[in-house]
Amino acid sequence: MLGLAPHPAHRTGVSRAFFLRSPFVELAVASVFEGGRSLPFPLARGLCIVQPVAEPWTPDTEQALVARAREGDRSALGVLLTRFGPMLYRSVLLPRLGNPGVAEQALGDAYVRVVERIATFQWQGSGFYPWLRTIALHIAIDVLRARRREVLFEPEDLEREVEAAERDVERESMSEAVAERRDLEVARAKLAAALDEIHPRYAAAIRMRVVEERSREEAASQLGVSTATFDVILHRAMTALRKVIATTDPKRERP
Amino acid sequence: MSPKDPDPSAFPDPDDPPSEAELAAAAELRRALERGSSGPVNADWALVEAVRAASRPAPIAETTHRRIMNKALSKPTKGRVLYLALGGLASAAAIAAALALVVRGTRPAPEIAAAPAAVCRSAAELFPDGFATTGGTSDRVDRIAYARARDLRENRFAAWGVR
Repeated sequence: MLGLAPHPAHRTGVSRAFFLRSPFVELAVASVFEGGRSLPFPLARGLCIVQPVAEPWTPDTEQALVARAREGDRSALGVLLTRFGPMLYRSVLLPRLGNPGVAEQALGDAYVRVVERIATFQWQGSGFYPWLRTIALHIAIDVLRARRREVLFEPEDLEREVEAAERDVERESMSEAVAERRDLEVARAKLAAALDEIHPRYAAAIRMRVVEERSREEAASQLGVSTATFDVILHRAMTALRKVIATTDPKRERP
Repeated sequence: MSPKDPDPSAFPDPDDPPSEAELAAAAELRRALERGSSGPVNADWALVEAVRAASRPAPIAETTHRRIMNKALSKPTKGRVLYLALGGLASAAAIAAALALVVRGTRPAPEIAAAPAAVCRSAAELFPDGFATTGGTSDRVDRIAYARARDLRENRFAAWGVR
């Protein structure tokens, strides 16, 4: 990603200037003279940070980065992962795997698979993110099949998402922003459906104390019970929710 | 029970008196929520994390993401490892073959000529008493095939220098 090229300052009367350019910063090596005398920083000779680069992210930018990544440019791949990885973690992996540590591990596995397969990636109009997301979903399916802790999603849920993603890629209709919003909505809808299956007071306890992270006292007051009674209600609510989740997949082994 | 019919135990009366085990588990969950983390084993906490991850997933820390990404990017691809391994093996095989040629070239050739190859001969010698003009065809063919196979072995052994 780093390159050496005449700096734009060359056009403004600077005698010699070169810069190292990355997506984040421009480093300039400049010999600047004006009127026969050298000028102080930032126009003096030396290595200096000229300006942060804030180029707009366009499909052309992305496609160029993908092309370089396919040729083995790891820094270009790093730029792509830096842009899309956090979104992938927050909207796809964490909601579906239900645990930050597990989601981070899955993200790492997805990145390793991306590194291995980027050379085979064929650019399509929908961009890099759908491909990355599909890889992550496949990783998440494997994780869900192997693990034994409570999660809201089943491997079959993610398989359906993979099939839908492939249809979306064919239609070239899914931007990463749309995909992120939809992924988050799917997770929230999954939780809402599970809460609808338990006693309304249990669902209210979980919503207030776990989802909204209200205080124990406030949640107990809303339910009209003492804090000690609320603790029991919340524990029973979690037990009921666990049973509902297990009911949707009778084959799943529980600890 | 079908997946559409949830376990009726998911709908107990929330106001039923709690058991000792429920009180202990409720206290454990309360402490975990106050700490923001679970103890060694807490099934409720795993579900708390799953619910929070589905409803309000927290973003990944930038340093954590960078560590994960750098680790993946620093790994050589399997393809590259495979190419390097195959390249190394091919080079080693080529060197070994060249050395073998050199070594074999310096050794004296085996004295193949000292063991003359078996010569082909008429099948008549296999039947010194002659044979009937009719019948016994299979026996004659077997006898000839056996004799010629033996000749072939002898020729090969002679060519290999083991005779």
